[in-house]
Amino acid sequence: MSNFNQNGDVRKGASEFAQILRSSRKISAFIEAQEKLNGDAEAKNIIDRFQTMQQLRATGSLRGQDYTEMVQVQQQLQRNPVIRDFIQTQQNAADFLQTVNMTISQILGIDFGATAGKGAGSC
Amino acid sequence: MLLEKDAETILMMKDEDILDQAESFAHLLHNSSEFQAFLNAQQAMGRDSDAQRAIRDFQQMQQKAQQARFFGGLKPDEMDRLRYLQKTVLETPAVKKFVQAQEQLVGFFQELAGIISETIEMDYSAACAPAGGCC
Repeated sequence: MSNFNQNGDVRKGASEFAQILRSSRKISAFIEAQEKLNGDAEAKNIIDRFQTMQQLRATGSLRGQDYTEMVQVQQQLQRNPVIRDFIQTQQNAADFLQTVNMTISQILGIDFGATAGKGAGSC
Repeated sequence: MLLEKDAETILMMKDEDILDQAESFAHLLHNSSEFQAFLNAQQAMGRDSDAQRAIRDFQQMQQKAQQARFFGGLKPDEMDRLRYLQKTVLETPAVKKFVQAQEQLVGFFQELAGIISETIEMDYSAACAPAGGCC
């Protein structure tokens, strides 16, 4: 069974395979959760505050009262249903993509995703 | 372009069906001129006695350097030898061709992964790496 171009045009094939992936349950659930997150002011505010706290911590600028706020923001982050759903669907999508990548890489004999990621300065 | 009918079919696809599609995509990649050029260069390097000798000599020196780390490292003349052997490997024609083919393959795969990432709204390479790492 094949739903995408196989006439040798690899770029077109990648584009069509990408559409197949996008339509899969796990990727579409992630995209939907991401859209919900982007449209949710409260969730975005929690994430912004959390990121600010992380930056302060990274630069060693956290002060006494900041630690209390950091704990509060972390709790809000863990409790917020939109954020929780986003994190869960993101993890599910990533797990699925790992399986997809393994399938591709086994046929090629080299890791497709890691090879593509080489230019990003990761390896 | 996927037909509307195909899109409906995809929506009902099970994960196993999508993995079948991943296999088909992998075969398409395998047959591409970029991947075949990489395989040919890899095989040519494996058959090339100059390249194999240069790689072997360099690897032996690398091993020596690793062992020497526990005893203060390589002596200056040994370091010079290590650099010379590395340069020799990289200047061997078969290795040069392999490195070039590998770089082209990396660029090609980056382009394809970019197409996928844009469509799925997620960085494919980063997402498919276990535990958020890459290697």
